[in-house]
Amino acid sequence: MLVEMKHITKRYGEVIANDDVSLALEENEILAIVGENGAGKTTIMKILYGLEHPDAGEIFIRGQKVLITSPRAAMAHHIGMVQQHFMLFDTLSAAENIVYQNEIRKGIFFDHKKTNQTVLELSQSYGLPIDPQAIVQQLPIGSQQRVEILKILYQQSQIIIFDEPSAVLTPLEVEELLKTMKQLKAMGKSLILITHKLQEVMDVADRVIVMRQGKVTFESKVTDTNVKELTYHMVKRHLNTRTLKPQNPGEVQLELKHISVYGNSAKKELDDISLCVRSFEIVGIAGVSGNGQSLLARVVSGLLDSDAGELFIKGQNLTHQSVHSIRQAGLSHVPDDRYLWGSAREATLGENALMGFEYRPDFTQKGILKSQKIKHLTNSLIDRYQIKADEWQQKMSQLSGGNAQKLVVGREFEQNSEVLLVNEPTRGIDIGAMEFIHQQLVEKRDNGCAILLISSDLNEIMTLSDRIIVLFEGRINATFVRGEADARQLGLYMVKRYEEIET
Amino acid sequence: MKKLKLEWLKAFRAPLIAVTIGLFFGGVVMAFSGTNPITGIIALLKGGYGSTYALVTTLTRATPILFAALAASLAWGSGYSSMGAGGQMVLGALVCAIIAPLVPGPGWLVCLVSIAAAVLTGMAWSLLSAYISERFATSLLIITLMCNYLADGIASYFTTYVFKDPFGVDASAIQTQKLTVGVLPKLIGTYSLHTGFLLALLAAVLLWFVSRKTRFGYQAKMNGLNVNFARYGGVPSVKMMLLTLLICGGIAGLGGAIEVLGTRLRYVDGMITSPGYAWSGIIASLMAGNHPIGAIISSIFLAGLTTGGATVERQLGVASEVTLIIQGIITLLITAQLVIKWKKGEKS
Ligand SMILES: Nc1ncnc2c1ncn2[C@@H]1O[C@H](COP(=O)(O)OP(=O)(O)OP(=O)(O)O)[C@@H](O)[C@H]1O
Ligand SMILES: [Mg+2]
Repeated sequence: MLVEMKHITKRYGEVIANDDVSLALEENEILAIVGENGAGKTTIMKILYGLEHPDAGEIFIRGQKVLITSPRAAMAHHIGMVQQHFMLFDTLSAAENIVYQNEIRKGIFFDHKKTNQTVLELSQSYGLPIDPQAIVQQLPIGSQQRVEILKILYQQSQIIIFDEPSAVLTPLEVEELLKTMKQLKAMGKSLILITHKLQEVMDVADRVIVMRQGKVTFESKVTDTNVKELTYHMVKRHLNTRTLKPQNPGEVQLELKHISVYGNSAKKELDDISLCVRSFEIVGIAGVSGNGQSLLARVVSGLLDSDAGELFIKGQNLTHQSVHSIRQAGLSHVPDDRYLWGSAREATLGENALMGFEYRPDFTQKGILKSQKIKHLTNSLIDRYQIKADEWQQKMSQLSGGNAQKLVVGREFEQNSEVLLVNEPTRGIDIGAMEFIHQQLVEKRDNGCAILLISSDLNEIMTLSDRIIVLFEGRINATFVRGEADARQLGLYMVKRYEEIET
Repeated sequence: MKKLKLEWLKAFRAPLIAVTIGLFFGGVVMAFSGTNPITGIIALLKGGYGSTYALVTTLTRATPILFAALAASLAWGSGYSSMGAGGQMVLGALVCAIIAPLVPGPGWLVCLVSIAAAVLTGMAWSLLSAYISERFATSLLIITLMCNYLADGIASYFTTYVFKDPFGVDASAIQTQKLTVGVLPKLIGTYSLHTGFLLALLAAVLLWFVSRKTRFGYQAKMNGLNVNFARYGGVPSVKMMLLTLLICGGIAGLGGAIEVLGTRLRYVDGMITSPGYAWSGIIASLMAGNHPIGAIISSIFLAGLTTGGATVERQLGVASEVTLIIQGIITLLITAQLVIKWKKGEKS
């Protein structure tokens, strides 16, 4: 047995994140860990990686009892972890990041030439192509992740932990990643994969563990189980498949006319986008992320001024208006990055829940906050969206990733505004909660809300949208009504200009 | 509820560790200069807080420090690295000292008018640095530091050449005319402590209320914790910046005026800068995690070190610079902790 974690218990105050968890990783296998948000998946892996210390329990590596007190100690045991939020220095090159803490020197100086050479060889030997000199912040997310993986391989890790690695990747990048994982296994490494996407488990893992409320509740060889069974063990109920009731769309609520954003390069980053969303409908924006979706969301929400074109909400011209006026006009916005835009990690849940509500007379009177009302709002979000939290004044950073996401989504949904901009709403969320959020979206639509849904998850787009717009290289590449196109067709328009497809 | 209290207590841990290490090194330095460190530290603490006289002196000294700390706590807590409290206090003090003798009428009116003038001056000076920093996209930290030098220069110039005390016995003293009306009343007999200290406490409570219980305070805090989040939520960032720095300037200007009306009764060249009130204030605020009520405690603590240092020098012959070392180490530890936090935040 390569790794054995025995009877691990970890508490945060009153919360038991891990409750007598035992698990084992065999030599040369891929172990998947799945489970609801807040089940304790990240915690148990942070313990193995030395980022957290267990209150009880022992860890054995190849039968030897070990104490892992820090990531450095983990590294010494050849354990590496790709965390959900990359730990890279944005302004340094890929190679510099990879050798960080194990620099190659010439005398006392950093040897750039040799470093780049070594990193290049490393990347070739693992078939993970990377430009050693590229600056990290200019790389797409998928490549940044590759830098993380190479960093771990450079440290000669044998045991590699991936915490929700696919959450932020495009479908193509996910495919690449899964290939990489299989290949690493073929080269003799052992991998642990935390994910909410059960299909990935079926595709790459050998064995799977389900965690629920801090405990391991199910374990199986992947060949002996299936998505349905795993789902059941995760959420302890059967999920419904969603069907959209046809609705007659009402008035135009959100309209973009010839919106362009020029950016620095010769090519426009958003090129002449015109679209409208009516009440009683969900318009889905499909596309490989990085094709203008996030810019589009920023223009609509007022965070970015467009260089050309106009923006209307409920007939009101809001071009070049502030975020505040756009929100006042009736838009709420679920952002794509819960920590970058959607919350302040060091603030309390209450403070995070209040954002956007702070001008409503329910919550402030003459500029003074009504804390009882804020408490009530927060607690009702916690209840309604089943956020695993202690109490309304704990810090946002103490929530698990998926629970933080639920709070952000819930806050925006509860604004009950007539126009809703939702960008990657289910990123990092478990399948049970995802079902709930989808159901909320559909209910809002059926009650007359106009919803612009941006998602790189094609399934999400196809199940929820009345109309689908495919964005490619900052342009509208194709428009379909519900049922008109299948995944294959949509996929094609996501990677090729329509001029090339249709001639 | 139980947990909340613990959370609250935790805020004391880092500053207490910093203080302990600071005192430890203070002791080491004393040992090198041939004083028993235990006796030395006890004498230091006694000299700072151990008698009515010591305490009263300390509280008087803590008053300007607290005003600077409050200004800093609002600025830093809202995400603006302003070092400008010094310059704003200097100009506030100067303007107060110039205006007060010109105001006819009873003492309270003189007080009111000169304080108002000082507050406005502080605000204007703060606004100037905010404007420059915004207009030329330069770091506020650097601009405010420059503005401090400029303010000090301006104040020196005016006290030397324009408003120099015509009645002074000592012609070499660079100072303005001594005030006779509008002086802040003393609190206890003839001790130095004046009502300005109560004003500082009041300001702290008020600032605590504004920053924790109002929409403005909420928005300012979110702006400081994650500016993207604030912008996303519709917090008007430019307006917030101007408003926040305006209030900071006002508080600092007020602090300058109080020091004139309560302690020196005139503007004396270097009266704010040489005791390092503004700098101590910023440290006090950082020690308190930018909490206005916490800043009361840390301001009094830092003021007491200086008072105690003077006593130790008198009694044991240890150079009072030992307090500078202690304060320096505390500063170093607190800022190091900030840098670590900041780096962590940067990475995650
Ligand atoms: N630093 C912390 N302080 C307090 N509680 C914490 C802390 N970190 C995690 N928790 C709690 O421990 C529990 C388990 O968290 P963990 O991050 O392991 O969940 P997870 O299974 O990874 O969930 P997700 O799928 O949402 O990422 C959660 O209820 C969380 O609120
Ligand atoms: Mg997690």
